[in-house]
Amino acid sequence: MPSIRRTLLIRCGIGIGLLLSTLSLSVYVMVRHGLYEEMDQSIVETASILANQMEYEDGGIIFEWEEGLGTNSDISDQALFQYWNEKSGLTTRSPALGGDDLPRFSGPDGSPGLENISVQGRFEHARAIGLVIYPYLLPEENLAMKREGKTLDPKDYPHILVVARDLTPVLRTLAYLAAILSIGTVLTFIAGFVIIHRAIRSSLRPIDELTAQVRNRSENQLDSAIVLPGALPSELAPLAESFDSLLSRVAAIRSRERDFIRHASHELRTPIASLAATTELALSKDREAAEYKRHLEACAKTSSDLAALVQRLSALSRIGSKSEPAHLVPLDLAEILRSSLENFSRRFDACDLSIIVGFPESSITTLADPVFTALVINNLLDNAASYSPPGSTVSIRLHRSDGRDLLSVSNAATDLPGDLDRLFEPLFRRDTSRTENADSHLGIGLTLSQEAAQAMHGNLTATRPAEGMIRFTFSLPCP
Amino acid sequence: MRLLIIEDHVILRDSLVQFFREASFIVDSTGAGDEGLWYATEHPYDVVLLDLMLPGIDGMEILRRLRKKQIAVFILVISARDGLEDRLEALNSGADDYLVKPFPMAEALARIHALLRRKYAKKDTLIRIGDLTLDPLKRSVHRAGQAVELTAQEYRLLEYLAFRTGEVVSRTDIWEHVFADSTGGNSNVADVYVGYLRKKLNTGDLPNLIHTRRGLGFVLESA
Repeated sequence: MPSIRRTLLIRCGIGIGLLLSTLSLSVYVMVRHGLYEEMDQSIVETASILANQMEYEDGGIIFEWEEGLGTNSDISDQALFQYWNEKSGLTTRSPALGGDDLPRFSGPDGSPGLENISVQGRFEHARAIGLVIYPYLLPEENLAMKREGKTLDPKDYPHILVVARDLTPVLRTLAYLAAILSIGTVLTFIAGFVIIHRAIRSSLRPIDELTAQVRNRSENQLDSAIVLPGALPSELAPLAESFDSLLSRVAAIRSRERDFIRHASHELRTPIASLAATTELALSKDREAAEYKRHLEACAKTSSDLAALVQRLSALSRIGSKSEPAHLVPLDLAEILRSSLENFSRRFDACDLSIIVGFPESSITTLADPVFTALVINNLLDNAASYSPPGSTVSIRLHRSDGRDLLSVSNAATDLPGDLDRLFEPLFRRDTSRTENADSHLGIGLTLSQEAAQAMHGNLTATRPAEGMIRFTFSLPCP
Repeated sequence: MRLLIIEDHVILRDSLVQFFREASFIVDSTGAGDEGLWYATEHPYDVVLLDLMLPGIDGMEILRRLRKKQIAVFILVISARDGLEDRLEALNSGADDYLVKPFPMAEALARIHALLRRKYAKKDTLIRIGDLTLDPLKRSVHRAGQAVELTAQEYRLLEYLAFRTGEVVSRTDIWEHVFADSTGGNSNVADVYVGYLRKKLNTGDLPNLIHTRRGLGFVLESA
């Protein structure tokens, strides 16, 4: 599984490692270059001094340093150098060289050439310059020769001069530098790694805290809000909020389901108790056939109530499953309302209810599903008939306003919940009692009606126009 | 013993009524909360079976009102609500016992008998007065080891007197707890049934256990 922490660590580690190595290498190369340059410069200087100290005098080549003449005698004393007379093949060594030989070389065409050399038994590593030099001809010597009719040309006396210097101190310095740089790189790398590790850990801590919170909530209480870590980074806040709202929705659904199951099992308990009681009673002693028949009839009645109840409950479980989509066709709402009112007129009379109906002046044709619309309207009328106190008035109004077709049913009602939305909860009943007919007020009519209205892109809402009054409004968008 | 059943599910109520009548109880019943409250307030019941979800006044409210009026009747709540909070609320509002629907009738009967034993301070399930033994669960009566056959009405009277052993029981109490029509009171029906009982219990030389207290009533005790 990819891990942010590991990825960050690896990437930062590689970055720091590359940076540090490049830096160290550059430092090493620069210092090495500087040291070599310095060394070469000093060899060149020594070589030029030594070249200047070779003179032609009294018919032979003399080396000033041999006579302790000239300047820089300390250089000639310490330096390692050797001359080869190309003409005579004679060689002259510096005192420091003792009897050892330096390698004989020069650059192309006698120009100065620099090389790393080693002298057997003396220096393993040395830096040397090799070049061809010619002796210096003193002016007075030249004049004297001319007088004798001879021409002297320094070119006739070519020498190869090789000057060497021990490279060991430079190499030691470079090795020391390399060691320091390597150790420094490794230590800096480790320190950087530790710092980055801690930085990553502290940056990721809010994620861990959030995870713990979420885990705790999912394990224990889905209904409680997440306690967000103190300083939640701005990158995480939206995630936490979406998670919180997701969990809240899950909790709401769970609680609705719990309520539904509780209500459903509650609804089932009484008929089952009745069935059990009736059979137990019938079997409690020997009875006349007619009496058994009576008990069996009671059982049959209770079973059919139970069957109706279960049917309604399964209808309820299908709500919102989109298995039954709405078929929208042009409908005259006023016509459907009139026919429903006709069906209910006897019930309204029996309940001593006065009905005031406000129809629109022109017909209202809208796009709706005839079955769903009839379901909603019948349910609203049924509710009004069932819950209005006898002698009260039910006001029904159908009109078009703000691009919507509205049907409102208002009536007096007692026992209303504080939150009217609860009326639409499955199995919620205003009255705490059960009615004797399992087909009627099971507390799912309004839920079904609301779902039906929403399936037609409309809605069904409840408002409280005045204390002790309720108004249901069924709205559909105008075509 | 007199029972009141307040339950709005008609079939369940009818079954309960018949079952308890067959178990020798005098049973009144109603499906409405307000009517039930009136019955329980105006009549001396031994036990009330009370459903919680009722039209009119709900069961919980009936409980509270009865207890507020200091009516010390024993109340057995029968409800479909099985949550702990529902049971606690009912018991804390004054219910003596709680039975979740559906329940076996035998359990309801056993709980009612337990409530009766509590009401009349009886620990033993058998009631013994001298050589008379009465078993309320089996509804059987033995005198000196011999079974005594009684009619339902005679049994009810003996059971009531037995539960109140040693106490003087007034004719009004007998009338209210033993006879189905509790509107009378001046009738001498109680004396008639006490006579029947004495005849059936005092066979041979067995001593009389039901004594008349002139102007007060009757007492069941061994001499």
